[in-house]
Order: sequence, then C-alpha cells, then structure tokens
Amino acid sequence: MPQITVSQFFIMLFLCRSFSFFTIVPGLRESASGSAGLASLVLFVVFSVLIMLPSFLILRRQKGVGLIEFAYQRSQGAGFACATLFALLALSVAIDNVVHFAVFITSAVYPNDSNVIFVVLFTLVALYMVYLGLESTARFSGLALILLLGSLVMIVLSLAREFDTVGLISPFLGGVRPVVQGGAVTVNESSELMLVLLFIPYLKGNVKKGFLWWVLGVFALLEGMIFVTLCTVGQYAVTQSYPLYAVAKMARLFYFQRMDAVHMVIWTMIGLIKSALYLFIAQRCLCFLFGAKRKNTILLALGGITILCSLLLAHYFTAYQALYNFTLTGIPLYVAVLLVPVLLILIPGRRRKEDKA
Amino acid sequence: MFSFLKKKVRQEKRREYQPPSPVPGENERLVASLSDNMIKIRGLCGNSSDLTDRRIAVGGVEMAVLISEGMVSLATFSEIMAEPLMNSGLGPDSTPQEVLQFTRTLSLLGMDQKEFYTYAELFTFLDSGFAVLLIEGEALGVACGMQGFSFRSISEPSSEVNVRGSREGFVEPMRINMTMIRRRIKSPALRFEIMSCGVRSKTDICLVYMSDTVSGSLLDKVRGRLRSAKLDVVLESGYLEPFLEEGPLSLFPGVGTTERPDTLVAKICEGRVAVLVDGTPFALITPYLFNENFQSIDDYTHRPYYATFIRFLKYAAFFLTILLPGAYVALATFDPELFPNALLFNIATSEESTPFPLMFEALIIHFIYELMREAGLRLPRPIGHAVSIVGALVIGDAAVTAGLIGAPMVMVVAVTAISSFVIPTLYQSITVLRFAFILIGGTLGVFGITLGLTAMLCNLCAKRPMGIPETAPASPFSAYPMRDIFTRVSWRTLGQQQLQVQDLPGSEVDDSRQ
Amino acid sequence: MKRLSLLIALVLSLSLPLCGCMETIRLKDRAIVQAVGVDYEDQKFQLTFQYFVPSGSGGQTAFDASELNNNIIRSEGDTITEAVSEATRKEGKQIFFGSNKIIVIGKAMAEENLKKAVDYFNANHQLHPSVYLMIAEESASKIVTAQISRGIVPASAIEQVADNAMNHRHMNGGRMVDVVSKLETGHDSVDVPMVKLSQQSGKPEVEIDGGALIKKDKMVDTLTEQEIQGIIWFLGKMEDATMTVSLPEKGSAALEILECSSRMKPRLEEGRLVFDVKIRCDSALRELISDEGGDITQEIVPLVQQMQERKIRQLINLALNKTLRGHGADILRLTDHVKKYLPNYYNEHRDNLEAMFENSGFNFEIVCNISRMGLEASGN
Repeated sequence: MPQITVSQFFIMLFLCRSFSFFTIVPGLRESASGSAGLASLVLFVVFSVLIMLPSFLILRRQKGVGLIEFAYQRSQGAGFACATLFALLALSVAIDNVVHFAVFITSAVYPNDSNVIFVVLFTLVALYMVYLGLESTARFSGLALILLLGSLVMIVLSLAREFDTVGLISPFLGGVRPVVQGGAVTVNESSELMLVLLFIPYLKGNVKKGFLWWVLGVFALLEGMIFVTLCTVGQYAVTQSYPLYAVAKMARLFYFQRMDAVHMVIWTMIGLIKSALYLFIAQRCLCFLFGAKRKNTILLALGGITILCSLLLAHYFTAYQALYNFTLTGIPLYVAVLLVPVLLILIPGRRRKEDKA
Repeated sequence: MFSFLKKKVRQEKRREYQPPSPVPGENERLVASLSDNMIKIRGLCGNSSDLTDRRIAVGGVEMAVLISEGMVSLATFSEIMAEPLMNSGLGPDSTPQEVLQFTRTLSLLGMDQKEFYTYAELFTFLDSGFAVLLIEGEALGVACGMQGFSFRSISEPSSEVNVRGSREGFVEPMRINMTMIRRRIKSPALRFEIMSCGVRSKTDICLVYMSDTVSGSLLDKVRGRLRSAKLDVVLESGYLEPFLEEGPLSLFPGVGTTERPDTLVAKICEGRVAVLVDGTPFALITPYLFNENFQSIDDYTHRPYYATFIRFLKYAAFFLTILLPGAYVALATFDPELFPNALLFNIATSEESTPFPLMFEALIIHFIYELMREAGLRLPRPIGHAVSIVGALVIGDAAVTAGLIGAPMVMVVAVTAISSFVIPTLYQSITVLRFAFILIGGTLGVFGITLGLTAMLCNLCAKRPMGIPETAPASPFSAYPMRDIFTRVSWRTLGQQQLQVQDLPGSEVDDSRQ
Repeated sequence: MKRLSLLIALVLSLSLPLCGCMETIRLKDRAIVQAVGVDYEDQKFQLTFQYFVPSGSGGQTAFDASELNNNIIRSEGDTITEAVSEATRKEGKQIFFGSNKIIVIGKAMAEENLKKAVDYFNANHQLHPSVYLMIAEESASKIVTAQISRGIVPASAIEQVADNAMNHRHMNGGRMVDVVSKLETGHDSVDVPMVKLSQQSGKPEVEIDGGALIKKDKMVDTLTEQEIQGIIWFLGKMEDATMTVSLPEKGSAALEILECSSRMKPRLEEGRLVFDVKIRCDSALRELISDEGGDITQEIVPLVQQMQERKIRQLINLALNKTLRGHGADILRLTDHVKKYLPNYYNEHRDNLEAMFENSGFNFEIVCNISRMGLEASGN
C-alpha cells in the first residue's frame, strides 16, 4: 500500500482547495462576495472542524484505518456500499474538476477552441499521474506548492502600487445571512474533507494536526486572495468571470506586461493534481470491489467515463449547473463525512476478523 | 486487433538469446603430463598466433612458460620470473613437487600469484596479462601477474572538465583506476569487490564502496542485479546501466557515470556504490539522484556564494534549454499578447517573410543543429573545426538572409544550445525533451507545455533509484540535506555532519552494515 | 504486449493534437492592432483600427522605426463584434487585440452610451485591462488615423502622451480597468480623459485636453484641466506633478509636488452628511519668478504655502461644482466612503444617494509643506 507523509497529503489538499477558489464561476453559486467573503471564511474554519469531529472521534480507536476499511470491519455489505458510494463521489468530483477546467480555459484563454482536446488531454495526463502512483503525485505537489506561492507573491508584489483599502467595507453590510451562507457554501464545496477520512491508511504522521494546519492554511490563502482582489481590482473583479485571472492579467513585473500565463500554468498543474487525487481514490474504492489486480483496467474505465461525462456536461451546461448546485447544498459531503460514519457505528461489528479488501 | 498484432509480432523471426556454449574441453582439468597439456592448449585456442610458450628445465623438471604476446611486460618477466627460476638453486634431481614448492614459498615470482586447475582459468589468466607456468607432473598451473600491455596514460577527463581540482581521469585498465581511488582514501573501510561479467568477454567489474557507510541491503541489491545481468559481452559500463535502473520508463538516468576518481570517492563516502568496468574509463554510481546532475567537483572548490550562483544558473539552464524553444513557439502561435510590444514587432517582422510556421522552423533548425553536433563529434578533429564554421555560416547567416528562418529563432537556438552544455550529464534527456516540447508547444500552446511539464515532473518524482526518491531531498522535502542542493553552504557547515543516501527522506534503504 | 498497448496509446494521444483541434494562427496572419476607435453613426458602430505593418529597411530581420509601420482598417456593423468580423474579412487577417494600447471612443458614441462600446473590450480575453480608454473631441477615427511620426507606430505616440499625462497628473485614471470599475460601482459616474488632435509645425499631434464626465453610461459634460486637477487633489494622487501659484505682488512660484495624500471620512451632522477631507502635500520650491528679481529664501515659504493651499481649494471647488453639484455625479468615491464608514446610513439611503450628496457639506483641511528649496542661495 503506498504511503505518504501527512504533510505531503495536506499540501495536496491545500492545492485542491485553492483550485476551487481560482475557478469560481459567478452564477454557479450564491455565496458571499467582497468583504462578506472575508468574514465567511472564519465560519468555514469553524464549520470544517465541527463537521470532522464526529468522524475523528469514531475513527480515533482505529489506528491507521480509513472509513472504507472501517466499514468492511463492520460488515461486508457495509464495506461494499461504502466503497461504491465513495467511488461515485470521488468520480463525480473528478468529472466536476475536468469540466471546471474546460469551461475556464475555453472562456478565458482559448475561446475559439473545442472542449474536446482540453478534456481528453487533461484527463489522460491525470490518468498517467494516477498510474505512476500516489507518491509521485504527492512529491510533485511539493513542487507545485512552491510554484503557487511564488506566483502569488509575484502577482501581489507587482500589484502593490494599486492597493487601495477603500473597497474594504463592513462584511455585515448586507446582514448576517450572506456571511453565514458564504461560510456554509465554502464548506459544502470542500470535498477534500471526505478525502481526509479515506486516506488515513495511506498516511504517516499525525492526521489531526495536519488537518488543522490545512484548515488554517486554506483560510490564510483564501482570505489573502480575497483581500488582494478587493484592494487592487475592486469592482472590476465583478465584471470578470474569473476575478483572480483578471488580477493576474493586470499584474506587471519588470519586463512582463501580464502574468496570466503564470496563473494558467500553475492552475493547470493544480487541476491535474486534484483530478489525479480523486481518480486515485475512485480507483482504490473500486479495487475493493473488483480486486487490486484489475487496477489498471479500472483506471482506464474511470478515464473513459470521466472523458465522456465531462464532454457531455461541458456541452450541456444547465445539467452541469444542476449537478454543481446539488453539490453546493452539501448533501454529498454531509452524507460522506457525517452520516456514513454514524451509520457504521450503529451496525453491529463482526466477530471474526476479515481480511482487508 | 490486439490478438492480430500479437500474432504478427510472434511471426517475426527472431534469434532468441542463447548463452554461448563453452568450447569443448574448455572446462576440463589440467593433466600431469606437460605435453598433453600443451597439445590441449594449442587445440583449444586453435594455435592462435599470440600464444607464446617456452619450455625450460628447472631443477631437472620440465616447465612451460606461456604468455599472450604483448600482454606481459618482458622486463618484469625476466626480472621476477625468468631469473629466479634460472637461479632457483634446485638440484638436477628435484621432483615436480619440490619445484612447485619453490614457486609457492621459496620464491616471489610476482605479488599477484594464483594457482589454477582448468583450461578455462588458464585462458582467463593468459588473456589478463598473466604469465602462466605449467610443471611436468603437476595437474595445476601457476599464474603470475606481470601485465605490461599498452594503455592510454592518465589524462584530464574529456567529459568532466573542471577549473580547479585534480586533472586525473580514469583510464581503461580497471586496476589503475582502483589505485587512483585507493590513493584518495587511505582507509581500510574502502572495499573493492571484483567479479566477472559477460559470458564470453568475462569482463572484470569491481564494486567500490565504503563498508562503514554503505547500506548492506543496497550493496546486496547492486550485487544481485549485476550477477543477474546475462550478457554476452560487456564492453562499456553502459551495458550494465539498465540492470541497475528501476522504476517507470523515464528519460532521466537513474544511474550516474563519472570519469573522475575524486567525484567517485565523494559519492561512495555518501553511502553510494560505484562500479568500475575494465576497458572503459566511465564508472557507474548508484543510486543517482536528479540533483546530482547539477553538481560538479568545482562547486566544492569554489567559494560558497559563487558555487550557489552556479547552481542556480544550472537549474535555470535546464529549464531554459528544454522549455525555451517550445515556449517561444507556443507564445508566438497561440498567445502573442504575452510578448512585450517591441519584441512582438520584431518577431512579427521576421515571420512576414519566412515560409514555414514557427513550429517547423524550430524543428528544422534544431534538427540541423543536432546533425552538426553529431557530425562534429564523429569527424576527425581537423575536419571537426570546419564543421563548426560551416554550421555557423549555414544557420547563423545564410538561412536567415535567405528568409528560411527568422533571426529570433537563431537566438533561441543559440541560447538553448549553450544552456544544454552547462549540464552535459542530462544531454540525452534534454535533446528528446526539447523536441517533444517544440511539438507540444506548436500544437497545444502553453496548455500543452504545462501538461508535458507536469507529466515530466511526475515521472521524475515517480523514480526511485535503489529505493531512494529521485527528487529527494527537494521532494519529499528535508531541510538539512538541502544545504547542498540549490545552495552550497560553506565546508565548515558541510563538514559537521555526514550525509548518507539512506538518510534521505522517503528512502527505503535501511542502515544495516555489511 | 503491455509495452505495445502503451505504445499504441501514446501514438494515438500524440496524434490527437495534430488533428487541428486547436486553432493556430501565424503572426503574419494577425493584424496586430495598436489603436482602435469606436464611433457611432446612423445606429451603426464604426470601427477604425490602426495595426502594425512592418516597413522594412531592407533587412528581413528589422523594421525601420523611422517609418510609420502601420495600416488603417475601417469597418462598421450593428454590433462591435460584427464590425470586427467585417474588418477581419476585409483585411484577410485575424484582428488581434493583445498588443492594443489605446481605445478611443468618439464623442457621439460617448454621448450615446459609453458602456455599449466598452463592454466588448472588457470581455475580450486578449486585451490588457490597463489599456488606455479615451474620448475624442470629435470622431475617434481622426485620432486613430493620425499619422504621428514618433515611435514605431503612431499609436505609440498617443500612448506616450497618455503615459506622460498620467505620470504628471494631467489625467485621472484613464485605463479601462479604472473606467469599468467605476461604472460598475452602481453610482455610474466616471471621468474619462479627452484627447484631441492638433497641428504642430504642419505635423499632427495629440494632446490630452481635460476629461469627459460620464454619468449613467453617457457623457453629460466636459471637464477642464483645472477641474481634473481638482479631482486629483481631492483623491490625493497629485505626486510628481508641478504647480504654479501666483504670489500677490511678488510674482509666481513653481512647485513640484513630492508627496500627496488624502483622507476622507464622512460623518453625520444633524442628519446631514459632512465629509472631513484632509489633504496633505509635500512640495519642493523650484522656481520663483519675480519682476523684482527676488531669491528663494526661507521668508517666502509661508506665503507660497498659503497661496498653494488657496489654489488647491479653488481647484477642488471647481471640481465639486461641476461634478457633484452640477450633475450629481460621484466621481470622488464619496459613496465608497459612506459605505465603508456609515454602513447603516448607506443602507437607508442607497436609493437616494444623489440627492444626499447634493446637500452634503465638506470640511477641507489642506496642509501644504515646502520641504525643499533647491540650491540657489541669496547673494547677500
């Protein structure tokens, strides 16, 4: 079983979460914008910790056991159901990721080109990353993190002269509701919370400490980026489909007139890491059902399904909107992170020890 | 479709590898009769012209001395073998056993003296520059090392030139190389393990390691891999490289080579294992990490600030050489808004009159450059200079004036080529990657280059030479070993604690000692 | 067999990009637009493009910077997109906005609806958000087609003029990002620089001549240079500019503004909105022009400071009278400050801010300090 350190894992999760932020598509979500967003992130920290508490308490005594392994320990049927559920959830997130990417790149960067080439090639590279193994993606994430932070620092420094704090208004100007709603939506988008419970068997180190660092890191990143966006481009961001991309376009450093290429490169890499991570977990879940020997066949099948579904959803955007809005309700996340662990506790445990799938 | 292809492939006539069968009688034991032995020896080698034998009588016992012509130093032979034998002091009625005893204990016919019992061993010794003694009445032979074959003198290594430091490079005879290593580490922990490789060539190879530093499991792995290498002939260390590599198919080497004894010594002191191969000046080093491609002995002799600057330069050169042509083509074709105006105007002006799209221009000019580089390597030196002049004229001037390629492209090629020379160990990978990125950039733009770069970096991260992550200690990250990766700290710091490869983060190699 | 499958997969995936799925356009097939003018006549958009065409000096590798290196395309359409397509069709080259420096909107277009013209460019992924957006005194076409022989292309000259005006504070904002963000605040007022064509020694030249006041996406008035300066003083962005103040009975003094800052805080005074504006500037006294031949000495400094303060007040009042009091246009970011400091008041009056501002009061505290006086010493 591949093993990675806790820090590597949470770096991957940090990158995955930042990808969602970088590609916010207005009109797809009702969330707090502007200054209200700054306050809603505090709620994100609180909600995230609260949601994960039950699962951590349930798995506390099961050293090195993830949610699916725990389910198999309870009963074969529960294990089967869990593996299927999480495989579907992970696959849907991977597909969502690919569609997000395709929509962005055909809106902001290559508006005259077809979705097909982006979806296919993006998915193929993600499949290759899964094929190479979890460790290689984890190691690559370390490099990607350095690139991400470096590029953000460059963008922020080059926009220093545009800073104007007049755009920072009271987060409660529109009332408390947008802030609370924003916090809830930010948590509902964080499918990474589900990954924490699934990856426990693959991690070396203190998972809880890593999780706290991850939450704080995401908070710092999102808070910083919202702050920079508000203070530099201000209301201009509202007119742009991808505000952070607009910020990168405006940034000038030395001889370089714009930094949107840097933004695109980093963001593509992060998107690949996210897709690879979710495809990996989908593969692992399906290996529980079909056997580890078939993992390459499973991977190919997952790749085919991802490509097909992504192309369809990118074409029928209303269907994608419906799926995305369903994700934002939080139902899939709460089922995965809250309902499933609680149900598993209620199932009477099996007397004899079972082999792991 | 796959079964059809399978069938087609199987139908192709292929000669499966068959290890050569021994010459009949080669593995037989020597007999007591000297004449029978000589007849057998002549028969086995087909009366080869380079086999020289001489019958002498020592103490009344007939002996034969055999050498391979040109392999033995005749001066050494006469001094340490012929004269002592002639002046042995043995009586005329000595027995073969007494003569044998004389060679064993009462004389020093050579420091490297061995006894053997089969014809196969006899030929091995003869072909290794030993003088062989056969004694009438004894079914064994005595081989004495007195090599005197010609070999290239020790000179500056051609592939690893440095400003400061030793100018000695390895040579073809393995034993000379061993002495160069031994002179640099005067410690009993330095071990040499000689084994034979190549069924037909029986090439001597030598494992070199520090017994107090190397991991036992690493050493066992290397030994096992080399023993399992089934090759007919081993003429160069490159033949053994694939057997020491592991991990996914990759463009990057997992085994390093060096021509320098000082470099080899530095590597084995970090717990690595080196492999010397007789007949080639290039030694192998395993495990070999990616960051070692950017290290050279000069880094450790220069001052830290300069060495750090050079390191950064090398890393920048690597990315420049693989990405610059592809990025240039990608930006000019798909995203010209990223160019500053003045540069864009220049590029647009040059593209006005050129017939080919930028991607083809880049491919053509890089292809011509590779042709010239390869021609310059293979041609004799006097003509090689002419090639460089022709190349400069053809690419630098004529092609641009003729409007076949744009001037900015020539600059791109020049910068790319110079950057690739900064990291000679990665030249093979760089060349292939450069062409790949040109193709990708020309068809898919910056998006494609990002995908390619990601795939390349992930492939690099997936490699684990001998169980150690190739990208360690950058990823998985460890702060302490980073002192010698992107920077090179002062020797006052470097010398405080020894870094061993088994201590790198993510290493699966244990710390057991041999 | 496994390797064969992998090889087939690799070949297929490599051949995929070669099927032309991504549009490749050579640079010589692109019209690299440097300036674009948008006019509106007879319900149609009339676009004028100035694009780069190299006029070589004989070498394939260089263009002659002393030549004009440009061509002009004119097109029209019911929408800007249609006009751009027509231009592409006419010229046989793909219109490329990535290197565009200037967008000039004709006066008629601005009076009709500025946002109609700007929206297309705002949504264009090639355009840099910092491209200059200006309004022409007459038609945009005249500005864009002017063959100004300074720089590689004539648009470079316009860009240089705009850069200088921005750097020396003859222009407030003027970039597309500034204009669009102000239009989007919901208080839809912004000042856009005006550009005009003049002749100097028989050659065409452009100059920035004040600004246009845009309210609810339409141009409602023009702003003089002094009014523009008043706006810039109010916003505290006057550094690196020069100023001349007249000294009663002593001539005039030339000042260089080294630093300038402005802080504004709204408050309520008996239900009325009052803005406390504190402007601080630090200047260098560069020149004293006096009929009596006076020197720059320490004694003259308080007088200069006083006169400077007076002039700043004058300029600000001119700006306020034209923009806020004249047209109820908030281009001084008053709304943003009310939103920030008096959120409850803002929420109550957000639908009636215009009337609120017209009755508002201002308390100015202007602190002028002259910290440098040059090298000249008194001969006495």
